[in-house]
Amino acid sequence: MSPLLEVTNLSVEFRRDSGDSFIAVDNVSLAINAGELIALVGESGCGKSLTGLALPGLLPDGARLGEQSRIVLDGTELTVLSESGLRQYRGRRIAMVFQDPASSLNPVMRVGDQVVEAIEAHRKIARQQARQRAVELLAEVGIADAGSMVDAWPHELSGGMRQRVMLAIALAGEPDLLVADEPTTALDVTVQAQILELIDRLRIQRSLAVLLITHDLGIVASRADRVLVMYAGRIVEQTTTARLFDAPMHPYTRGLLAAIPRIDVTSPALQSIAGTVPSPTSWPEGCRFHPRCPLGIEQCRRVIPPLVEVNPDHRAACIVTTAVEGA
Amino acid sequence: MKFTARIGVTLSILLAAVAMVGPWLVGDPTVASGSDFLASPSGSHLLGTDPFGRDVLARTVHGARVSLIVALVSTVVALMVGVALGVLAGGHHNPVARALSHFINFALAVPRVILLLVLVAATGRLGPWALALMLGLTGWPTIARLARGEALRLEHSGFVTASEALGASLPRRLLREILPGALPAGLVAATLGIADALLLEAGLSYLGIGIRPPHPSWGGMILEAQPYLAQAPWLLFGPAVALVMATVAATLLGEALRARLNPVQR
Repeated sequence: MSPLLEVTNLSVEFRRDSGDSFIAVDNVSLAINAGELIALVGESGCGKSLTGLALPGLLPDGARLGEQSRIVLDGTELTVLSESGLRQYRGRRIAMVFQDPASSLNPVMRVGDQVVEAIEAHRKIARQQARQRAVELLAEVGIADAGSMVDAWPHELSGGMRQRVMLAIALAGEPDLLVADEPTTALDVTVQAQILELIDRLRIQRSLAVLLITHDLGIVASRADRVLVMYAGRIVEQTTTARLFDAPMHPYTRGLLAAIPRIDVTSPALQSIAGTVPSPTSWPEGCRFHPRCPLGIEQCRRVIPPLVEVNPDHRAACIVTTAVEGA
Repeated sequence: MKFTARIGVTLSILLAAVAMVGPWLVGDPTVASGSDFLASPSGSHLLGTDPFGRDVLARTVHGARVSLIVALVSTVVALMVGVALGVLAGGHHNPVARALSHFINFALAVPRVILLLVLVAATGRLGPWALALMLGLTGWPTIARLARGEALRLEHSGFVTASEALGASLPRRLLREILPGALPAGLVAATLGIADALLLEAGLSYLGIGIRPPHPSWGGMILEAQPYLAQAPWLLFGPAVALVMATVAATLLGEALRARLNPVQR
């Protein structure tokens, strides 16, 4: 079975008015099957949100896809479609949920009307039926008393409820793929868990494919089937969630995992990775992680590490650790 | 509601009532009353009569009707044109929007009074409705600039991006998501512009190129009173007080609306 979504060599290039350009997403490939939850993990500024926005063709002004980029959804190549062609896919095949539910809802429309609008955007339907459907969707995403909440204003809802409404709006077009860009970052920890559980339930009930973009490995641990770790525009490691936590290969992944506080280990200070993510305008030569890498060798400065298969279902891009493993 | 807001609303309602009902209560403003030329205020002519023997009170009350037409028509026209252009110019990125933005800036740079002088020179003196339309068609640039700013802000807000991500077309986003958010700012600007429109109408009429006679207009009455200032100062009293009241009412009403629609300052 071919995957629902297959992305190959996705690159996103920014061209500035001054004429120079830089690459923010570099040769990213990934595949998602129906009903699968894939996590895309990385620090701020590593290109993970851009990767998500590129799928339904929502790149910001000044950005464009690289020539080799292919995005195939259910057998259709999306990168060659026009704006109006892509619009047929947005919401109907690929839906998105964003980080801040407070700003994602229109403050001057009742939440029910916003769900109704999303339903009407995708098919011809009588007003009364659309409203009935909106109540069903709100109930499906776990909004108690959905029948009266359709008439609520966004400011009357809590952050968690707003994100539930956003999910209801996303489901209105009966999508196959949900791109969730940091859907829980703006929420309280307890609410985060509820929203993740909801996303997980929706994916099972609707066999929805989910691309979960996050910087929080704790989120990944509980829900994702597979994890892609991104650093400075490139995928540096991809494997199953279990393997990622048991046997991380890339020094960056190891650093991320070491930086998670653990309840069963007493350590005097929390570990961190020295330095910050470099800007896309000044990415280092060779392996982009080498200036921060504890294992770096001379070769890392010159060689771009390929993403090699160290195990079935486990790939990493590090010439040091993959060489040791392979030997 | 604040005290000044109360005054603004009360005065506005009062003036609107005078404009709508008043003309039936006073005499005909265009009919000369026999021999009472430049009569001083008395029981039969509360504000006296003008050089043609016409009742100044009747003319002032009828003038309120002109002012009401100017206030309403020019505001509605300016609001519609301004918000439509502003939203189109700010709600998205493409050459049309850029061209419109430049057009709005250009329109802002054209002095309104001089533009009106040119227009009236071309058309000849107009009736109240046509002049109000003209004032509206020259009054939209400030509204458009504000609406454009709001549209620019909203275009980058989460819910507009979210609606785009869910397949909403550009016209749909402009109409359903951006327009409702940009309207309040435009409405406030339009209301604050009422006073400008009133004064411009009076100003044009005072210059003798405003409302076509014999329609009584406050500005025109002030013009007619000027040569007789020494003999008959009461001629000035009615139109001047009415004009000040109307301008103050419109300004306070605009301020009240602004306070109400702007949550930051509420």
